[in-house]
Amino acid sequence: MNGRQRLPGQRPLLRTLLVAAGWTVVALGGTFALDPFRNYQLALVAAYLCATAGLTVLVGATGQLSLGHAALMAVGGYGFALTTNALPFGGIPAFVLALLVGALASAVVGLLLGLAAARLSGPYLAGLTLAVVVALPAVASTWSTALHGDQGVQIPFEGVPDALRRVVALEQWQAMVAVVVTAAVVTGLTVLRGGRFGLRMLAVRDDEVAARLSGIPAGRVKVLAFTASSVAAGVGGGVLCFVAQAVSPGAYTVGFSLLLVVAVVIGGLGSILGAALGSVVIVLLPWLIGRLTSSLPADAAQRLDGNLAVLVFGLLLITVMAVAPHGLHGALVARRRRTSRRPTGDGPRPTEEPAPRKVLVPTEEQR
Amino acid sequence: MSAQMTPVRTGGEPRSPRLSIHGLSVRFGGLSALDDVSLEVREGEVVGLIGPNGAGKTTLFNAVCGLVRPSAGTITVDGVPLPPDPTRLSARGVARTLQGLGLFRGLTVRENVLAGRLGAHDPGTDAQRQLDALDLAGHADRPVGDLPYPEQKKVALARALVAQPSLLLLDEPAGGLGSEDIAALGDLIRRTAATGCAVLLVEHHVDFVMSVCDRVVVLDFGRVIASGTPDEVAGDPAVDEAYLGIEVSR
Repeated sequence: MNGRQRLPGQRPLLRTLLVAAGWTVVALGGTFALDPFRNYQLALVAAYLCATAGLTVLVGATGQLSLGHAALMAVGGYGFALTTNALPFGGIPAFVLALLVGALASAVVGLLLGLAAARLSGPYLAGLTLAVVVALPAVASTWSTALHGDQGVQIPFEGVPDALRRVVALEQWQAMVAVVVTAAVVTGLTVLRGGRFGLRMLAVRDDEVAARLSGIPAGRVKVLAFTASSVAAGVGGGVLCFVAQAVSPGAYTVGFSLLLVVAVVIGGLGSILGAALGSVVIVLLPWLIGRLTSSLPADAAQRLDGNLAVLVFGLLLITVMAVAPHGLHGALVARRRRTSRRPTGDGPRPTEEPAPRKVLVPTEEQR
Repeated sequence: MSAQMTPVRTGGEPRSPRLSIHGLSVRFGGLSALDDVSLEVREGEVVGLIGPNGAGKTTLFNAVCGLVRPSAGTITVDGVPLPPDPTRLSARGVARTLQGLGLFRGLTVRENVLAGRLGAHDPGTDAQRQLDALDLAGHADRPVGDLPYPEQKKVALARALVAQPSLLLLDEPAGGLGSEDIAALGDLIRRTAATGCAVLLVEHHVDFVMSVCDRVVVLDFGRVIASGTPDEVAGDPAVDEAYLGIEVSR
């Protein structure tokens, strides 16, 4: 046999890159069809997708539940903001460098958390990661000279590059940058999840002892997965800082961290497309609810503001879990399977004869 | 109807020991799970490890695999001590099946087998070869949980065998199988041993052990109480006493 046999779920790298490039071009083209506010929402979806894609790979593929991904986004955001302010130059080189520093900072924090995560599981890991988010405002206050406490860090306004200023509005430019960065993150996670490392993660999730006996270093796999997921979240935080031109602990609350988990559960655990659907939901749903409540009397609208969204998210989560336990993406896949299995002809269905029972291992005679 | 199996007895030149355990003791707090256990499994030999529940059989496997830390004794494979790290066992040619299948429930049959060979240059080809050898190719892309229990047992065996081990540890491989499947399993074990692989198996199915093993070691309360050929062990009054709980006059 010539060459190595491809592993299940592993696509050729070139094909993955071409598919990613194709979707990126479609998304970039789409920004021309959107108004500035929709482009702003697209940039938010892209930033959240970095975090939710990393989270869904972590939770879905390794079974490690992190409730602290908002904190990892914040680390990336602060890294991005502090680097941007420290650099003597601006433009795309400064953006790329600041994003790399933000990703590196979240990688370091993620590595430390991952080392602990390799020894913890279930509610213990969830508790640890939740504590990190809870501690975030205190960290920002303690090092207020650098992190500016609750006010956060602002970055200088960077408009559209001169070459594009005539054809691209600010929000569209931000959306385009967010789309390109997110495409790179999602492609990286897709490659990571496919092939050998992806199988190692799934094996560790399903049975850690059996995985170790099969030669899979379970601890190292968990640490690497947590670190990769943290980098994705950190890049998302950097993109969010680029879009909002500021980073502050108020943007990365426990509620937001839980919302990221809700997004990946609603979208479908382990599915990057599901993470994208979930990110769209967490951006659009509060906006839709805001539109609805704005038509109510001012007193009622004020009382419902913020609270109604939480209630609706809770109801949505319960409904999705009851109707589609594998999330929106799982429901789409199941529907596609049902459609493809449906008989197309009017003739009678072929009778299914039970296959002869096979013994455990065929003997030489049975072969 | 009981399965018809022909005992295989080894003969000829003595073969070199693949697994050597000397003076192995494992303690859990005040409880002695294994006490000064010594045994050897030679190249191409099938050794059965039997004993009542709680005798220490699985603990011995866990000690060999580095899942529990021995308090005393040495474990060597081909004369070299085994690393106390389960993930390095497959690199040393050691494979093990687990009592409770230990399959990766979210994966397909093929992926389960692949998982046992991920460190290889071309795991896909190796896995396909193993799937063909155990007649699993037809189920390769089905979720492993969809298969009947005997087929799942076969997948667990395939995952252990795909690494082409020189020492195979089987933890209750016949558990839950019917007579026909047990006979086929015995055939597979004998064929695996014929390639030079040393096989150590823990099993409660005494008839199966007696028919497939070259030697049998009996554990009770963490100590070796009998060792020898199946015929020798079957006639040992200490074994009857351990299994039946009756005192036999010596």
